[in-house]
Amino acid sequence: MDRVLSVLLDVVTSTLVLALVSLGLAVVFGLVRVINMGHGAMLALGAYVAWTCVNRGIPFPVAVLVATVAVGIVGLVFEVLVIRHFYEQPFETLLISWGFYLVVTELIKLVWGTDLRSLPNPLPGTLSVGGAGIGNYVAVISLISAALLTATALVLYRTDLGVKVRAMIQNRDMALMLGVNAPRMYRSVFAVGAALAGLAGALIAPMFSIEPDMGTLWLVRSFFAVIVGGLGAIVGGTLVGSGLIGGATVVFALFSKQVFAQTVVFALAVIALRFRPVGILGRR
Amino acid sequence: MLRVTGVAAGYGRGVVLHDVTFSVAQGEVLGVLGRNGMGKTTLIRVLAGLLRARQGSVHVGDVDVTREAAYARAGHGVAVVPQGRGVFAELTVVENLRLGRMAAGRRARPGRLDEVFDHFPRLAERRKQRAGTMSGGEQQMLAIGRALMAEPQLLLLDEPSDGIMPVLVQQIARDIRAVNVDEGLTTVVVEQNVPMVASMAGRCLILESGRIVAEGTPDALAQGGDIERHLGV
Ligand SMILES: Nc1ncnc2c1ncn2[C@@H]1O[C@H](COP(=O)(O)OP(=O)(O)OP(=O)(O)O)[C@@H](O)[C@H]1O
Ligand SMILES: [Mg+2]
Repeated sequence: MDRVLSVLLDVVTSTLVLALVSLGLAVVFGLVRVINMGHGAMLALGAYVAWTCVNRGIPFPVAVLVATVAVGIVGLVFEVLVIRHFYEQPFETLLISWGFYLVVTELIKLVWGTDLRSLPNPLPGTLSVGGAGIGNYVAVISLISAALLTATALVLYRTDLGVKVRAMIQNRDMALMLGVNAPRMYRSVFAVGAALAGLAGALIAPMFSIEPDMGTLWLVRSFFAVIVGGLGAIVGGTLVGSGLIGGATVVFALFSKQVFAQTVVFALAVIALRFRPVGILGRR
Repeated sequence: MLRVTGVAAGYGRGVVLHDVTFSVAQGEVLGVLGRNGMGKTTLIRVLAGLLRARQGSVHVGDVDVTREAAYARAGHGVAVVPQGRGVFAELTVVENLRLGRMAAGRRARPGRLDEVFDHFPRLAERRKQRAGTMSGGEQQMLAIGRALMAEPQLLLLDEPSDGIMPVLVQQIARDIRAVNVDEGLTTVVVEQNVPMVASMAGRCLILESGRIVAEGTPDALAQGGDIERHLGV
């Protein structure tokens, strides 16, 4: 019984952690239709900025905020200088953002070196949930992820801004004729996506080792989560996709090595997409 | 209210509009007639700011909007009901109307939503319905209602009769006319449906291959043979 509960908790927290990491990618992909390969590098950048802050004696929560803002600004600059000239050219943005990934990763190596770094767990200890144990920090991160998903849904479905954004992705010309400043909206969405990547990178930093390429596997996982979840279904899709990719990996890992489990899940995702290319919650 | 001077516009290398000049007085309803592919929608796109004029200028009121983007023109009170209606299919009726109110910005007045529902009671019955699931006629009402929510100074309509049954066409013509009379709203309506335009517009232009080839009251154009000559009806 405890074992089942413990696996269940593991599935839930893995899902929410992956959803946290994927959200920035999902927002940018869902709203401005850019597959931002740079997302992986932005995660790593967030982790490094947080690491530096903590090592300068800045409290971890503040370090997370600094990382969020810093990476958000990097995303903003990248949008203004480059990406904005290539919207609606999916292949070009894919390549360019991949280039961005490589450049940022190399810059990270220049600034911080290639040694593994780590951050101490800000909330050591475990929490007992009905007999099963769960790390305090993982629990908090899961809650933050759930809160961010909820906030995103509220903004999209309950505010004027959300109506404008949803209108813009359906019919850009009509939204323009209704006074929506689409260029500014695209820029903000891109910057928010980057900030979310910085936030996620900083938050997961204490759970994994920090290295320049740390974003790669996360990029692949969140990419699958977003695609499997469904194009355009930003919040629901991210959650469902993360559940399938993150949760399924936990389950398969019960029977095999982690790496093998991951591979099996990716293979299944590819097959699933073969039959439902728009993803599970996606339309059109 | 609207002054278009020597406008040329097109796509890629092709020029669609040639030296188009006309103006519309405050409170007037101007009809623009033309067969398929004569450049009516292109004209609307130029007026709305979706397509740059290559030559010439567009003034709305005293403001030169020639170089302004579409969203900025919306800020100056230009509202558009595009060909094909342009409702946001995934949004509800109320959300579509809310977008109109947001476009109104500081011009927004309380009670406008009720006025729009008075004009189009069918919309009031369907507030929460997704716009994409409504009939063509209802979508047209929604597109017009949304434009009215924006408290426009200038209303541009691109073939509002397109795909709508005749009874409803007359109804929509009356609605547009009523708004024009009640609010003095300056209106440009692009159409192929001559009777509809004749019932609404005090003055008409005929567009042929991107040039204005005739101008006058609907009666004068009919009697002078221009309608038959250029529209074949
Ligand atoms: N996006 C575009 N790219 C290239 N050419 C275009 C484009 N849109 C329209 N055209 C061309 O411009 C010309 C005028 O088109 P426009 O849509 O303005 O005609 P219209 O009078 O509105 O016709 P309809 O009554 O069928 O709506 C046509 O020859 C058309 O092929
Ligand atoms: Mg047309």
